Amino acid sequence: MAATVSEPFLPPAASPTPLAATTLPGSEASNISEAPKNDNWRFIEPQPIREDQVENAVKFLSHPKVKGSPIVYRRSFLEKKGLSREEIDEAFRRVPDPPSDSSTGTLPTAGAQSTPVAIPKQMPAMQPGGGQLAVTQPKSTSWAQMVLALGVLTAAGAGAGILTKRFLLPKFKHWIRYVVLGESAPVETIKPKKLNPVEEATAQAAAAAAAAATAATQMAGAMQEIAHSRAEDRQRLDNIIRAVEAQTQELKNALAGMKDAALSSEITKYPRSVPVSGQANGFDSLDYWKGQTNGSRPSSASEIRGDKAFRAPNSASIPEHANGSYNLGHQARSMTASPTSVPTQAPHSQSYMDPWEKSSSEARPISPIYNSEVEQQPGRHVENRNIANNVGYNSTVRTEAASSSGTGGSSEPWWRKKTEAEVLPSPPTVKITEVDPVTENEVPPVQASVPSPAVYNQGTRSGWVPPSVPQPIYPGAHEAIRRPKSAVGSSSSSQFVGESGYGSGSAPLNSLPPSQNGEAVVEVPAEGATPTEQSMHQPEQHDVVSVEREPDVTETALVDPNRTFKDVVNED
Amino acid sequence: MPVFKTAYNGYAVRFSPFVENRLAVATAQNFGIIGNGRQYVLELSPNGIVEVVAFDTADGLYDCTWSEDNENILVSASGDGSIKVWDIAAPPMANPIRSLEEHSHEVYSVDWNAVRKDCFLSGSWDDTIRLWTVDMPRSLRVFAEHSYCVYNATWNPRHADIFASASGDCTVRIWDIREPRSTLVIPGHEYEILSCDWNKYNETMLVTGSVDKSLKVWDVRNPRQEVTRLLGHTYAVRRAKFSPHRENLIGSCSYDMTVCVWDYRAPEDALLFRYDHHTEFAVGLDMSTLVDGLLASTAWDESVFVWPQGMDPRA
Repeated sequence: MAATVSEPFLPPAASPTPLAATTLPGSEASNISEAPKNDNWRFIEPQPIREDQVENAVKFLSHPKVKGSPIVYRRSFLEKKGLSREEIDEAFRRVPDPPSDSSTGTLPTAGAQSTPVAIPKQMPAMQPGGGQLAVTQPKSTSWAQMVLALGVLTAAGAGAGILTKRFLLPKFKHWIRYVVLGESAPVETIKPKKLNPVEEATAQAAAAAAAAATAATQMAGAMQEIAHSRAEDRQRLDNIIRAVEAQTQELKNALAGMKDAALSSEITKYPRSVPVSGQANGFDSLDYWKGQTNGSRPSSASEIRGDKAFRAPNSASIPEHANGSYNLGHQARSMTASPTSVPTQAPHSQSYMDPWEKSSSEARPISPIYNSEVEQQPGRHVENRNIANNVGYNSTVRTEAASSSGTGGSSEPWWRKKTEAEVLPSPPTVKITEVDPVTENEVPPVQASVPSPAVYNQGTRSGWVPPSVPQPIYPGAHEAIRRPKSAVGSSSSSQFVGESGYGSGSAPLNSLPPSQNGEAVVEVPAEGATPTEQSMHQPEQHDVVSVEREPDVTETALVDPNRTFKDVVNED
Repeated sequence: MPVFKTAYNGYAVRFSPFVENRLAVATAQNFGIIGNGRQYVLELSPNGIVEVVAFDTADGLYDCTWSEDNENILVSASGDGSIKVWDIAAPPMANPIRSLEEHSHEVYSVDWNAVRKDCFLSGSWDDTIRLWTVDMPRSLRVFAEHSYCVYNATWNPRHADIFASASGDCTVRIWDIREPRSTLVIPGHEYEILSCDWNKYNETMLVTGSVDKSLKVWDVRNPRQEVTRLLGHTYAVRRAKFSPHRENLIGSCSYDMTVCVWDYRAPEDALLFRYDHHTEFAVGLDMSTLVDGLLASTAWDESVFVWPQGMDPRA
């Protein structure tokens, strides 16, 4: 082993692994026995000197440029080139002249000195570029020359400027005048002398008059334009005002119509109220309403406020009253949405629909909650209970599974916790049952592979917990789930994530026995409540639609967690 | 996984070799350019990461290391050229218990000898490496052969006298403290080498991380050619560490704000994990010797993350 270790130039493939495998325990023993020092690290053996490298180094060191550089830089350069210590030493030994320690030398490039890393890079540059020193010399002497040249240039420029100002410009002006006026000089030389004062004056006066005339015309034109624009603006303003007034009028009409419509509809809402035979305005119906119950109502029925005040003491109608007021608000909103249609619809009697139906149909899409609330209260409660119980049941199962692993894992602090993903990110082990592939992801959490849900649970505990998945209460869901479908597989993985958060996040609630669950499931649809994920109840008309859609909903949303314990518990 | 927010920009993180849930974080203000520093000692608790104690310094701290023979001794490398020694069991007024000032430039790296356990190294930007013990006020040895800043100096985990140093002069030098001069010079990269580390299971293997975005694994018996080259970072590799639990795993953190875990023996797909949890240069990385697979990293975004290897540090 020592013999093999001492061979420096083993091929790379052969050297590392077998030696590594065998050397560690034995090397120290053998080394201790062989070498005088304890724990001697003999892996780095003195390598044989490569003659070609040494020769290159000698040539490098013999170069005059290199001679001027510090030793450290030369050594680091050779080291970077890959020479071993012995080779560098040998090269230094061979170079005849002892290397001088003058660091600056003749290199005026101070920038290279300051960056030692740049020096080794510059040294190869110095070898081919032999004329650098020669280049540097004129640089040093050219500074003075450049200064002198600049001075001379500035002086020359200044002198030239002065000269041009004094002598050249007047000459230039003369020349220009000659060029411009000189051609006409022979003609005007005689006459202008006599005519100039008078004719010039008259010409000037005429020119001034003409200019004044043109200016006046321009002014007139401008004034006209201004007047025109003002008139136009006024017209526009008038139009706008008219339009605004028209709109306000319309709005007022609409409001009035709405009031009437509201009043009339309110009146028609209550079965015990006399069916409104349709009034042009709501006032008459209101009076009738007043007449029915109390006569204490003030006659000014145009204010809705007054109507409300009137209705307040009517205790029997308080819940509907509340609904009605809400409906009023909703209808008011819907009315404002379509102002143009209101005047035509305000007289309800003129509409073909029964006022009751009309109002309820209007009300339903607007505020289905409140309408249906009244009707479906008990069913909703049942559904809530069902959901809560299912959730609770699920969560208890999950928390049992999770807690059993959690208690085992809670003694493990989070920094000690390991995942299967440590080695390779892989999904938890899959147990294939005979039922269908859907159960693959559910069986482990419930039955056997405890660490994986613990991992995921604890991993998600500190992070985002997905919301609990609602149950398919519809009885057809079981068959739908049992039918293996491709969509199921794709959603099951996402469901698994939901599952894990499920077990850790939701609090345990009362768990009904499964038979009651089944009964509840049966009951709910009979009452007409929609048992799907939508917590909002939908009115009767929508029930028809949702019932048809339900199998699809339950299949795709496939509540696998539900399916697990239901499957386990309700073994059909 | 919990995260700890430090007040200053993180520079280095080290797990304690004695207490599995304790770690030290060296931080510096203003990204370490100018300002104060703070040495944190953190503890991992079920509630998250808790600060046990923190020491303030006049200049930024660039590295820290725990003593191997005393669980309370902690050494920090400071930007003013001093080395601060802390005793976390001593009252805060008594800290630092030592301030060793011999370097003329920033001390960028400190490493405690894990075999002999009594001495530590400091690598500095004044191109030298000094050997110290806590008792002596003066350094025991000076190693001055690099021609540019020493960025990292690490002891060999199996041999008490061997250490490696990575420098900005693009070389890695292997030293034996019994010899006056360096044993081996590896011109490892074309650019500055920021970090080097020994394989804990193979005493002749080194990994170096460089500004050229690559990591190279070297065998010192064949220094002319690297064993393998790990590519994958998009910016300079700031720190490279061999795993203390697996022979083939290397962790690295980089200026591309990621922490990567590699298997250098895989012919392809050497990159096993890539953690992108930091929002600034990831400069500190450590792998726990007491808990298999536990990683800690810190970055200039003033955060410290601790997580087991396969999990998401931000989860």
